[in-house]
Amino acid sequence: MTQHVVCQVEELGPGDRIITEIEGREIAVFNVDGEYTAVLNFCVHQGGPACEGKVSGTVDDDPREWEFSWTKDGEIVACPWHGWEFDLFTGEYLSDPTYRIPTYEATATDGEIVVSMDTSATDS
Amino acid sequence: MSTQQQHELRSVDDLEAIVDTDAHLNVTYVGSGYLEYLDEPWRNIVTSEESSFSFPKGDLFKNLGGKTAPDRVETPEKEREYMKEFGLDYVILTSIGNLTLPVFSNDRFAHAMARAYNDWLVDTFLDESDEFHGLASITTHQPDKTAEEIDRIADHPQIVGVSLGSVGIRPALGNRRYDPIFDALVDHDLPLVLHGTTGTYSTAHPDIKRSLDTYWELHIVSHPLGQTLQLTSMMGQGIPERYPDLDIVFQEGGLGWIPTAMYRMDGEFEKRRQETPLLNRRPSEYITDPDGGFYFTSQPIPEARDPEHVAWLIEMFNGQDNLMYSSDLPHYDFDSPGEVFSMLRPHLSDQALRNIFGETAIEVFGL
Repeated sequence: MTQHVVCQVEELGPGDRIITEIEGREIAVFNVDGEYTAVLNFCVHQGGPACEGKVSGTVDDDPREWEFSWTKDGEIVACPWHGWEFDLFTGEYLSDPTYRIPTYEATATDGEIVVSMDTSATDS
Repeated sequence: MSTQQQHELRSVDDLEAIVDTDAHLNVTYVGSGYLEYLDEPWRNIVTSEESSFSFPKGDLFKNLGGKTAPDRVETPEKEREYMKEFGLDYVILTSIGNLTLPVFSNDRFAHAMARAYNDWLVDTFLDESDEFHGLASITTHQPDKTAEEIDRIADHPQIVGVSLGSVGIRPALGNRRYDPIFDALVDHDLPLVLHGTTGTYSTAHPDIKRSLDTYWELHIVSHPLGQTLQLTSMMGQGIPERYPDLDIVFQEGGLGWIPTAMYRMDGEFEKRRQETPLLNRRPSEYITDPDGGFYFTSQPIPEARDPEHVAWLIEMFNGQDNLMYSSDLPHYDFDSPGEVFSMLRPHLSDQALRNIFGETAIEVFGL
């Protein structure tokens, strides 16, 4: 695992995102209500900038209630190209969880936002 | 039909020229530059801060609060960004908002909106650079006025066709009252380019709109139905025989509706001749004939799990000769040329690919 400092904690407030490059990959780091998550900025659909879309919530798929209920507010990003919805923590595509964008651990450590990346599979 | 094709073309970059035959200018809001081109008395009403004008929409939440909101595309710089990002060599610029003109109540205003858009298009895009080509906006409220507008605008070298929304035209386009429009188009050798709409269903087909809950549901039927209505009316009233030199392009219906309409029309042609005495050949013959004057743009390419099924559809209506790639940028269901190429390449010949991605459009639009 390699650790990468992305920014200072103050630079990434709740609801903010930062897009940066780590080890040749474009990574977006989100502060979701005090919790941090990092997501590869590459949509599994057609390679669009998935992490640059609208961050909001989605509608819960509980069929027992007629009224739609809003859920996961702030935890979902919709790719700006075709609206594909991804969970910011799991990277899963909500319409078909067999698709997933890679996510990475992000934490606040000593006043810095740090992303941990495991590139052992691709290191020579 | 063989699924093993020998290819020289390996990637979309090998194509000589890619033409996007449905590149949208998104200026559908009060405050956009084109409304400033309106004649009075409309201009001061529509552009004032107290304006209550909006394009027909209803509670159809197309943008989902921003998840599926299209970019504004109102400047050459923005359009060039798209052309560069997606490798588009030519774009045929089409309005979005003006596709709703057929459902406007006010005839004078509707015609004024068409004129204003055309003047703005020329000033903002076509005269700015000859890399842009555009479709002139028309409406059908007063066909002789439509013909006047076509006469006025047709000579601009970068106006390569005429754009008309297909929903809300009453009666449908086969009717004789539209002859002045077809006469003008044939005079000026401009294709008629029809494009469906969804928000207009609130006005044009309120029963359908009211029956469905969401934009998702309405969008599925809106385009195929709108295009099928106009194709059927024109075919049924003998337009291909009355206007053999007229080219008609159907945008954004996707592909599935075409064989469906075509086969149903052939079936009725055989059994109800006294209702379509004007037709001398089967509808499918006019459609599949490379010189029949019917063309189709590809977006949205069917979301088939097996891409070979898309190739089957294309073969049914002879798409290798009449299908043209389109993106529909900036909409949320756009198709990039690279994706469409990858999907089709294993199943179509090099020449079919070249036709679809540029050569047919170059011919139809005189590029």
